[in-house]
Amino acid sequence: MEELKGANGGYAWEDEYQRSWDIVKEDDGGSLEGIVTSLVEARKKRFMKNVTPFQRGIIRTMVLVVDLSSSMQEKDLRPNRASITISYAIDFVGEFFDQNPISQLGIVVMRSGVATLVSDVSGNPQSHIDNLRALRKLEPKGDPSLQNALEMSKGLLLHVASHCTREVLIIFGSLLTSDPGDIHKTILSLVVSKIRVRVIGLTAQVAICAEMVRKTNFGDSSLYGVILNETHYKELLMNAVTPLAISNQSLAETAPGFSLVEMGFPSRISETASPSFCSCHSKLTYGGYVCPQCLSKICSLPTVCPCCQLMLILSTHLARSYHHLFPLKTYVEVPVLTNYDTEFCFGCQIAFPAGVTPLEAQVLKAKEEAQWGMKKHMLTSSRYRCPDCQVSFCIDCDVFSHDVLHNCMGCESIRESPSKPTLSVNAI
Amino acid sequence: MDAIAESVFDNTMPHAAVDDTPSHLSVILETSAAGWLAIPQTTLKQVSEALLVALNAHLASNTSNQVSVLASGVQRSEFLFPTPEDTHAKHHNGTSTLVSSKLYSLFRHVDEEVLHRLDAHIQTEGNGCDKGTLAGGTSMALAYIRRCQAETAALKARILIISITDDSAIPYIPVMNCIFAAQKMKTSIDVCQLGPASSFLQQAADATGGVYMDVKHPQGLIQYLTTAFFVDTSLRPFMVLPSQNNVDFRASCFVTGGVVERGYVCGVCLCILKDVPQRNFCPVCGSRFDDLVISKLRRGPVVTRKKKRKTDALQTPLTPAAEQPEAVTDD
Ligand SMILES: [Zn+2]
Ligand SMILES: [Zn+2]
Ligand SMILES: [Zn+2]
Ligand SMILES: [Zn+2]
Ligand SMILES: [Zn+2]
Repeated sequence: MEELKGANGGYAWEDEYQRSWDIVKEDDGGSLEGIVTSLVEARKKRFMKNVTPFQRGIIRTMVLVVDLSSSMQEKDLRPNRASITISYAIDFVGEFFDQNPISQLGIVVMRSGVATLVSDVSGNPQSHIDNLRALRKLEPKGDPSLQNALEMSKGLLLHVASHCTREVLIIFGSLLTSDPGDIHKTILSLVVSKIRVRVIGLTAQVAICAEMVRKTNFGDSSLYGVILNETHYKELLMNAVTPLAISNQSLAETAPGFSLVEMGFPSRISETASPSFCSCHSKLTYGGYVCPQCLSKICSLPTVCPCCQLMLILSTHLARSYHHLFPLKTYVEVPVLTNYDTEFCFGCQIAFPAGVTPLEAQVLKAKEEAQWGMKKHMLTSSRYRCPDCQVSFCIDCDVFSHDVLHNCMGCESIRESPSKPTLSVNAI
Repeated sequence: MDAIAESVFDNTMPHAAVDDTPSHLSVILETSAAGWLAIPQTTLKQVSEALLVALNAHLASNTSNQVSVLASGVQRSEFLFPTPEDTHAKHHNGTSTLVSSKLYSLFRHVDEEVLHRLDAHIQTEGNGCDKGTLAGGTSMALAYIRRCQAETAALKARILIISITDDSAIPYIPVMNCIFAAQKMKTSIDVCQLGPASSFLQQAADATGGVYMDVKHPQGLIQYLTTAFFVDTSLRPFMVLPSQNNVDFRASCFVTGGVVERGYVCGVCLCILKDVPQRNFCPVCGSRFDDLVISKLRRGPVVTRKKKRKTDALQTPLTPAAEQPEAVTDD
């Protein structure tokens, strides 16, 4: 529960009316620079997730359930809950397929007590995004029914192959659910079908959601989050992009082992002279990919061959997921010192701030405390060090390496140190 | 009337405004001694001369254009330009050179700095390991571009790799990560390959909308650098550029290294295997596979498909004819 509390110890709606410019105070010299820098660094730090190598379910199947009941008309999120949810869901779809290129997604909407399938389970992000855009015209109405939505999700996920994960992500704005039957039975059937449910609440904790998440995730209730504000909302959604760790318990309980999947790696052909028919849309196209099993032509990858049902991908699609499997170690913040051995960020060459003597540090800390009334100090060395190569980076490069690049620039650039833990699986 | 005329003008010249936006060119020069020895037609000296001309041309085409140069050797990758000390000096004593024109001093500054640093870089390079540091150099270039784009709004950027080594010197996963990061940042990676062809770098150029060229006549490198590689990213859709129709996308088996057309992928580590492993364990990550799944896969192509083929041929004559020859070669 602790992580649900905000900086002021409450939810967004319990907070004092707060604007970002209210937080900013000038320091003694009337300068904002120092405070702004430390604010920015503090914010960026929140994006640094702790990474531990896990076995993850990389090939995922997820049903995204969006609440479009009357409670989504509330305006506590601007302009209102429904429209921000749709915008965030569109971002989510893009990010989901970027990070999980061989996964599948489906979208279900809860409205007027029924669950409606908005976008069938598929690996095509564009169709999902188009279907979500179309939802903007739909006015939030009636009560949501969790049971109906779960039953529909179960139906969508049941036929999924055993090597894929079965996940449901619910964005729930209401405090109630109006169900036709006993939802507890539905939850039990989800447990039996090994479907894992994750819930993002927009209002407050709801007992049934907490129970559902706990039961379907082997007693782990950390996948139920209630948003504090827009930023936190986005954060919770983006957490769902990272594949779930395969818990030891789920391993023991589910399969006696992992799956090996048969896949085809098609070759690309270019037809500049005359077009030929593709087997996915039956249209005349120039070039495409050829299924190695049945030799039919396909427009885009990844897909399941429409003729022989072989899963077709490029090796690059698999490579996109490798960073989940070989996560970059978290960089360690260098403590505040009088002198540092590095003056510049290894990556972007930006100059680091100079060292601070203990006396100066004391003064700065006291100043901060007086101004912010906080025990936590914002004073940093602004240096973040890779535990492997011992190279220092600025916070921007740290975030960039962990969120975008997934390489350590130091480890990849310096080969002379004897401890060389390269991540390469030497594909060739 | 004015309004109409203006909008028409805008429509016909959509790139007039785009052209003014500054552009960043980041060049990564591979410096592996063994690699350069293998190319007898040219030397590192000649290539750096050509490179300096290309850098100056880039700087000259727009006053706000920026360049950065990295050297990527077998032991380390480092910035040749700009370097932190250098940016320091520039801020402190301004233009100390006796050259009057500001632009010219910039040329000279870049040239001197790059040559000086390159010299220092080569002096410190020793014998390397099997994998070079090209991925590290590309990562640093991307990090520097990220900073420049944060500082200068709407800055376009592209990376040019002057490569002399093939895939064996490139670590697979880091270079793939660089490609995806470049894709996200909408930065194209151009590859000027002086050495043997590299499928990883071909993929890098292909995935990011860059140009890949196997330079057959390195003596004329300056011609290549100032034509095919000089075209701004925003203009590329309108130009006929050297295209690569046959990018090698083939996957290779993680164990045998052979090319895989139809293979198996471990559900845990996503490694690619040509055959079902003999023991029921993943040879890469050691995960134990489900016996049921394995036996199904083992049986699949040998027994059931043969039977199926007969019945299929009898019942559904519409089965694609192509499937049969493929299946025969497979058995
Ligand atoms: Zn098609
Ligand atoms: Zn096929
Ligand atoms: Zn940096
Ligand atoms: Zn490192
Ligand atoms: Zn494996």
